[in-house]
Amino acid sequence: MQGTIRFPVVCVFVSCFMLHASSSLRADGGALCLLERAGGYQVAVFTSPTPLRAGPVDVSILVQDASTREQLPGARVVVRLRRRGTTGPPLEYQATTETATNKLFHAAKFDLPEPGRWEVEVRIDSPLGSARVRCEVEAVGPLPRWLEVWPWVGWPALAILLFCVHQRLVRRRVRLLAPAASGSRGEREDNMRMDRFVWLLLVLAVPAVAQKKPVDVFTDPDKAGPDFKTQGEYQGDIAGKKYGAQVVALGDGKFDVYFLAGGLPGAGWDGKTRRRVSTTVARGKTLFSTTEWNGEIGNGQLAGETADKKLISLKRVERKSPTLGEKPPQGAVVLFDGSSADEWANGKLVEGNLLRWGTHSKKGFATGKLHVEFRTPFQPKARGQGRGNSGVYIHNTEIQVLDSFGLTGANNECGAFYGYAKPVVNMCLPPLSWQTYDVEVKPGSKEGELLATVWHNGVKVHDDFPLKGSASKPVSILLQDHGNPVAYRNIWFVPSE
Amino acid sequence: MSPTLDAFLRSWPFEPWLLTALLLSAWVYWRGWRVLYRRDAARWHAGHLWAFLGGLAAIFLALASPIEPFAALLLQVHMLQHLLLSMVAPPLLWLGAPLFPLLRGLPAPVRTYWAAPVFRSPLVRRLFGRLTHPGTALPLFAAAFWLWHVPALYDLALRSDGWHFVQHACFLGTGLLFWYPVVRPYPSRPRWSLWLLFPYLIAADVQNTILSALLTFSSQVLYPHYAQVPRLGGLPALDDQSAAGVLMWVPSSLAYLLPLFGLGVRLMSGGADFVAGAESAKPRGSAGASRTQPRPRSLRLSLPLMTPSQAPVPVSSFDLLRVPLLGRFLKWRHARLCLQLPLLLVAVAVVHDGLSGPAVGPMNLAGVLPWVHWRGLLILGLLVAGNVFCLACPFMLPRAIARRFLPRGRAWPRWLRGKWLAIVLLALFLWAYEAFSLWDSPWWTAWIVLAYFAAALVVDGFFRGAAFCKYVCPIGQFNFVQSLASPLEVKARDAAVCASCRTKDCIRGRDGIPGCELHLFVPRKAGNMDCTACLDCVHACPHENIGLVAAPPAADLWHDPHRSGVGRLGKRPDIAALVLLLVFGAFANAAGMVAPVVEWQERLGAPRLLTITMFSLLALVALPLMTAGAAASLGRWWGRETASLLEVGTRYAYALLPLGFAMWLSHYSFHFLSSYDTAVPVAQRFAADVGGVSLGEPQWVAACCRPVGTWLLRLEVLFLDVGLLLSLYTGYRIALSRSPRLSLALKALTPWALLILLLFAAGVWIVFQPMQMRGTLEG
Ligand code: SF4
Ligand code: SF4
Repeated sequence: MQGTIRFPVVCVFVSCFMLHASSSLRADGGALCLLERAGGYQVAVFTSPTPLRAGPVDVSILVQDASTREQLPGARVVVRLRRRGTTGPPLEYQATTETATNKLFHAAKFDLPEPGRWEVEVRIDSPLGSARVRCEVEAVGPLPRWLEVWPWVGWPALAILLFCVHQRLVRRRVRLLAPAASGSRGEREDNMRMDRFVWLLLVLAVPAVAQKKPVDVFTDPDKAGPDFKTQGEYQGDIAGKKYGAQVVALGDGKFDVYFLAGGLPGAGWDGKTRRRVSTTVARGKTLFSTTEWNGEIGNGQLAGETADKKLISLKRVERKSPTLGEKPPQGAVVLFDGSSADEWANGKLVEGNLLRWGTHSKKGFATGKLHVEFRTPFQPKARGQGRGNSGVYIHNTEIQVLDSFGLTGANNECGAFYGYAKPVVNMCLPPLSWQTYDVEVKPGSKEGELLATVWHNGVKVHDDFPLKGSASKPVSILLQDHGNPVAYRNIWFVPSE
Repeated sequence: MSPTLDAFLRSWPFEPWLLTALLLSAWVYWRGWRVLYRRDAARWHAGHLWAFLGGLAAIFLALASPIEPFAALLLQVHMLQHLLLSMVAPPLLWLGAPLFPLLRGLPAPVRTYWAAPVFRSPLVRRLFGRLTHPGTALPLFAAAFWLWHVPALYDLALRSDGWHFVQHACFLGTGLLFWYPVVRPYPSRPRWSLWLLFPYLIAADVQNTILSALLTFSSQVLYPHYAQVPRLGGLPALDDQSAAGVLMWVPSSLAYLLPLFGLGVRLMSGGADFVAGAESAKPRGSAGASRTQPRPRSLRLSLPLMTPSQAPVPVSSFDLLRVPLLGRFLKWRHARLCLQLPLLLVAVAVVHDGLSGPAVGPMNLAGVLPWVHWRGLLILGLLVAGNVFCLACPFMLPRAIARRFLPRGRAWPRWLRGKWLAIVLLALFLWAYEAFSLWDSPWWTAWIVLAYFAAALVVDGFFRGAAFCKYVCPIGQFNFVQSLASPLEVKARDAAVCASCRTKDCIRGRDGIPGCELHLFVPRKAGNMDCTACLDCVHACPHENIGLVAAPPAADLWHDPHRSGVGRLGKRPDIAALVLLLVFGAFANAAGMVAPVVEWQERLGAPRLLTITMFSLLALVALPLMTAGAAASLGRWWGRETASLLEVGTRYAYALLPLGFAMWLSHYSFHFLSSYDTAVPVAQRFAADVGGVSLGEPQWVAACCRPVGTWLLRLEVLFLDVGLLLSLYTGYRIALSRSPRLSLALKALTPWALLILLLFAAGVWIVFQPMQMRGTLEG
C-alpha cells in the first residue's frame, strides 16, 4: 500500500479502538466505606465513583489476615446490597480479584438500579472462617444522558477552536512573509496539501466515554417497590357518582391518575369521560389536586374531597379476566401448560413454569380458537413502545402486547391489531397482572381472507377483523421478542372441524 | 513470593487512551528518526531513539503499571510515580531531541500544512522561549511541587480522578519546562549564559531538600487519606511517609547534582563559548548535556523540515485499480456484468416475493433487503469507496439487452436537461416513503422495482446516451451527490499522457466499448458528479491512464472549476437544489421515524396522509427554501457580496452536503448494523416457500430488536461530528475562495455556519431518540 493510505488506516483503527473503550471505573480507588476487624480479618470496603451514583458502580474489598496484614488471595467474597427500608431479596454479586485492577482487592462491578441509601453487606469465607461486615452508602441519581455522552458531541468544538488558532498563526505568517502571496503557487500548493489531509485530523480526535443507562424492569411484585403497590385500578364514588380510576406509575414516586366516569373500562365506563391528573409527592404522601378535586393515594385507598366538600372514595381493586385459568376443552391442542416448552421452537421456561417471550409454535394453525395468558413486566420509567412490549402473531398479524394500562387504546397499543385496528376499548390491566387473549379465527367470505374476533380479558375488542390467510394454510403462532420480559402461560388452541 | 508482592506484579491497569497516545508518539518519532538517521547517522545516533522511548516508557510505568493502583495505598509508591513523571520522563524525552524526529515523522501534508506554521510562528516561539527560560521554569516547577504537596490539594487529587489527572499533567508539564534548559535539546539555542544553570540546579535542590525533610521528619501523618486506608504488610503510615520523604530526597538530589557536575567539568576544561547564542559560529565541546548542540547553521537552514519543501514531491495517491486482485478484476471488461448479474437475481427474488409472499414487511424479502441491507450497504459503500451501487446497478442489464431492438436514437429534450425532473421524482419518492410506509409494504416495494426496470428500459430505449441515469433516476442522483464526499474518484492518472493522446477513446469509445455515456471527458472531469463509476472509460482508454484515485472527501466542493459534462457547480442551481433536498431529506427521513415526531404527527389528529404531506412539504420544500434563502441573503449582505442572491445561495449550498451525507450515513448504518441479520429468517422462509428448499427453520425472534450497543450510538454521533466539521470547513473554503479578505469571508460564512450547527443539533437530537425498528418485526 502506498504511504498516503497507511496513515488514514492507522487512524481508523485507533478510532475503532476508542469506540469500544468503555468507561473505565477506577476499581479499588474511590471512597472508603468501611475499615474494620471482623473474625480473623481486617476488611476495607471502597466504593466508586465518588460520589456514588446509580448506574455502573464498583465495590472493592481488601481482605487481609488481621494478624499478619497479608492479603488473602483465596478468600470468597460476596457483596449484597439492599435499599434501606425495602424488604425482599437483596442484589448479590461475587467480588473477584479478576475484576479488580489492583489484584490485592476483590471487586464487583455492576449496575446500581436506583439512587438512595443502600446497605452494603460483605461476606467473606476462607480457611480462616467466615465473617460478615456491613456499611451504608448514599447513592445520588445517575448522570443525565447528555452528560454521559457530551465528549462525543462536544469534541468538534475543541477541533474548531484549535483550527481557529492554527488559522490565525498560518495567516499571520503568510502576511508577514509575502504580503502579495495570495493565489501564488506556494499558497495553492499549501491549500492542496491542506485539502488532502484535513480529514485525518478529524478522525484522530476521537473522544471519551459513555455509560450505560440503568434499567428498571421488575417481574416480581415483591421486588417492584412501593410505587407498584400504589399503581393499579381503583373503584368507588366521587360525589355520589360511580367512578373508576387507573393509576399509572411513572417512576420515582410519580403517577398519572385517569378518572373514568361510570367505572373501569369494561365495567361501567361511559367510554368518553376520561380525566388525567398528575400526582405530586409531599411529606412522603402521594397527592393529587385540581381546581375541583383534592386527595391522596396510599394504602389501597384513593381518597379526598371535591371543591364543594363532597367525598372522593375509591378502593384499589385487582380485576381478573373471566377466562383466566380456563381449562383447555376437549379437542384442544395444548401448547403450553407450564410443564415444558417442547411445543415451541427454541422455547424456554422462565420462573419455573412460564413461557419465555420470543418464540413460535412448532405447529401451525388455521382456524379455531386460541387462548393465551400473558403478563407484562413493571417498567415504571419506560414509556410508549418500550414498556412491556411483545406481541401475539396469528396468521402473521400481530395482536399487540404492551403495558398500555391507562392509555387511550391506539392501534399500536395492547389489544390492537398492530398498525391496523385499535381495540374497541382499552382493556389492558396493570403491569404484572395476568391477562388473557381469546381469539377466534374463522374463514372469511373470500378466499385468502380470514376473520378474527378478539376478547381481551373477556371483553370483545375486535369483531370479525379481516386477516390475510387461508383456512387451508396453517401458520404458527409467534410470541414476539421486543426485548422486554413478557411472560406467557396456559396457551391452547381448539381447531375448528 | 508474598501474596502482596504477587498481587502487585499482576496489577496492570488498562488505559486505552494513554496507550494509544504513547504508541502513536513512539511510532511518529521512530518514522522521523529513521529518515534523519539515514541522512546523518552521526548526529542522529541510536541514543536519541532510546532516550525518547525511555521517556515514554517512564510515563507508561508511572501511569499504567502496578504503580498506579498502589499509589492510593502507599505514599512511597505515589512518590515514585511523581518522580517518574517529573524527574525521569522529561529529561529522557528531551535527550531524544524530539522536535525534528516528531515533525519529520508526521505525514508530509500534516507536517507542512498543519504543524510547521505553528512551529514557525514567532508568537509560539517567543512563548516557548519565555516558558523555558530558567527564570520562569524554576518557579513554575517549584510551585507545582509545593502546591500539590499541600495536604488539602493532595487529598483532593486522591479523591477525584479528574484532579488526579490534573496533578499528573502539572508534574509532567512543569518537569518538561524545568529540564529543557538543562538538556537544551537540538535545535535549542538559549540566549542566556550557561553559568545560570548553577544557581538554577542548586536552587531546585534546596527546595527539594526542604520538602523532603518535612516529609521525612514529620511526627504526624500529613495526608489523612493514608492514615485511613488499610496498611499493607502492617507498615505504619508514618514510616511510609518517611520512606516517601527519603525517596524524594536522595534520587532527586542526585538528578540535580549530576548535570551540575558535568557542567563543572566542561567549564573547567575551558569552554570559552559558554555565552551560548544562536549566532555562535564556533564548534562546541562535546561534554555533558550539550552533546546534542547543533553544528553551526543559519536558522533557515536548520529548519529544512519545516519550510515547505522546495521541490514538492508528488504525493503518490492510492489507486484502487492498482490494488492487486481487485484492481485486476475491475479492469476486466466484464467486471460490471459480474457485479450486475447477482444483483439482478436478487431483484427478481425481491419482486417475486413482494408480489406473492407474505404481506408482512419483516417477513418478506422485499421488506428487508431493499430497506435494511441495500440502503445500508449503499451508503457504507459511498463512505469507504464511492458510487458502488451504480457500478453494479441491475436496472442497466435488461436495458442493455433491449437497446438492441429499440431505436434509441433521439436526443434527450433540451428543456429536460438538468436535474429538475429528478428533483421532483426524488421529492415524490421521499414523500411516498413516509405516506405509504413503503418499508412496510413488500407489494409496493416490488412494484417500485418493476417500475424502475420499465422506466430505464423506456427512457434509454428511445434516447441516446445514459439519459435515464443522468436526468431521471432518483437513486442515481442520490449517489452522484453523496459521492462528492466519497474518498475515491475516477480520474486521469497523468495529465501529460492525456495531453499527448490523439484518440480520446475515453469519451469516443473503442472496439465496441462505449465511451463515457454521461458525457464526462476524463481529463477535464472533476469530482464524482454524474459519474456512475461504470468504468467504461477505464476499459476504453488505450493508455491505461484512468484510475479510481483517492482524494480527500468533499475536497471537490472547495474549488469550483469548470467540470466536463457538468459545468461550474456554482452556476448550477438545479444541482444545488438537489443537494438541499437531499440534505433536508436526510433529516426529515430520519426524524420521520423517531418516537417524538411520530407522536407529534399523531397528536395533530389530522388524517395521516394529510399530516405526512404537510410534514413533507415543510421539511423538503419550505424549510430548505427559507433557511437557505435567509442564509444566502444575510451572508450576501454581511459579506458584501456583489453576486446575485441565487448565485450566492447556489455556491454555498454545497457546504451542507457533508452534514447531509453524515445524517444519511448514521441513519442507514444504524438500521443496517442493528438488524443486518433480519435477512436470515426471511431468506429461509423464501427458500422454503419458493424452492421447497429447507435452509433451516426461520428464527423470527432474531428478526427483532435486540438492545442496541452504546458503541452504535457513539458511532452515529461520530459520523455527525465529522460531517459537521467537514461542512464547516467546506463553507470556510468556499467563503475564502469568494472573498479576498478573511473578515468578509467569515461574515459571509456566519449564517451558513449557523444553519449547519442547527442541522447538526437536530441530527444529534434525532439519534438520541428511540428509533422505530423499521424492517424488523415491530410493535
Ligand atoms: S483518459 Fe485515456 S483516452 Fe482519455 S484522453 Fe486521457 S489518455 Fe486519452
Ligand atoms: S467517467 Fe463516465 S465512463 Fe468513466 S466511470 Fe464515470 S460515468 Fe463511467
